[in-house]
Amino acid sequence: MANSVHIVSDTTFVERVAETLDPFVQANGCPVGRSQLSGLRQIAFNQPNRVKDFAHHQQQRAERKMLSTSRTAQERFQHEIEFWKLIADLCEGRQPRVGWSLLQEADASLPQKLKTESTGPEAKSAKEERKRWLAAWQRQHYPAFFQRFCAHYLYCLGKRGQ
Amino acid sequence: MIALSPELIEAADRYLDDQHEYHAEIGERLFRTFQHDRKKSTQVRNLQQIVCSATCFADIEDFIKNQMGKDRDSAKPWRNVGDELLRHLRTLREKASQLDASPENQLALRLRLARGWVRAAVSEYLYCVARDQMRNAHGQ
Repeated sequence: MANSVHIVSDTTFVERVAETLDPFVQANGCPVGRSQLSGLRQIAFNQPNRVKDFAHHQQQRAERKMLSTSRTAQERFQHEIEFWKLIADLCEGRQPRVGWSLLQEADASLPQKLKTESTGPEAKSAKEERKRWLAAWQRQHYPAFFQRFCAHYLYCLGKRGQ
Repeated sequence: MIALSPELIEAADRYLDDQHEYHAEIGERLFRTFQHDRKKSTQVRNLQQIVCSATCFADIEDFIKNQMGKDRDSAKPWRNVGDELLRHLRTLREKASQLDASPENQLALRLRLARGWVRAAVSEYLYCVARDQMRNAHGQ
């Protein structure tokens, strides 16, 4: 899997990050600061299986802040909420609402023998094997994807002079 | 890392030779941007280091983007020159995909092209530094 990670991370991830972030920044600006981004990167590197939960937690935090702030500051928090929704969608968004996500990419890369649902006595072990494969995929691909994502976001942030 | 065929190596090197003048221009541009202030020239050395050790071509793009995105003074020169470097890296990407269709070969070709580019650019940058130091020494 090692070389395939390099290839996906060097092509698909670069394209997907630009396709997702450029329109997002155009519509919402860069609502998240460098320290929050650094937190996202750390989670993706150390606990890739927690990225979606982290995004959800950050979203709820922004929602609470939005309720207790002035009307003028609310817009900023709305953009921040959109940012964390985007992260959650990038992790586990499903078709047709979300065009591409890491979950969809992992599903598409599943080896053929794990794609078919077995029904016999071996069904349980096949399911376990699929789960293990997906966890390994996540451990290898999440850090690579979020490295690209955070670099491109920082680039956008710098371009906006923030 | 996959071993490229002699034909692909030759094609990549021929392209690098054709582009040498432009790569040297980038080196001059790096000199105009970073000069040879000790702190700033470290930035050029860091770029060279990243290009030579990267296992993914996008790591090089990420390095430039990260430098441009910093909130310190060190980001300023990168913001002047970064977009041109990123544009050129995109050209190298395209060239690699024209030279071969296999994803493994393309990755190896991208890295080979990037290393050739940075070698030429940093050599020119160091030449500019040396020339400038000589000029200053004679002026004193």
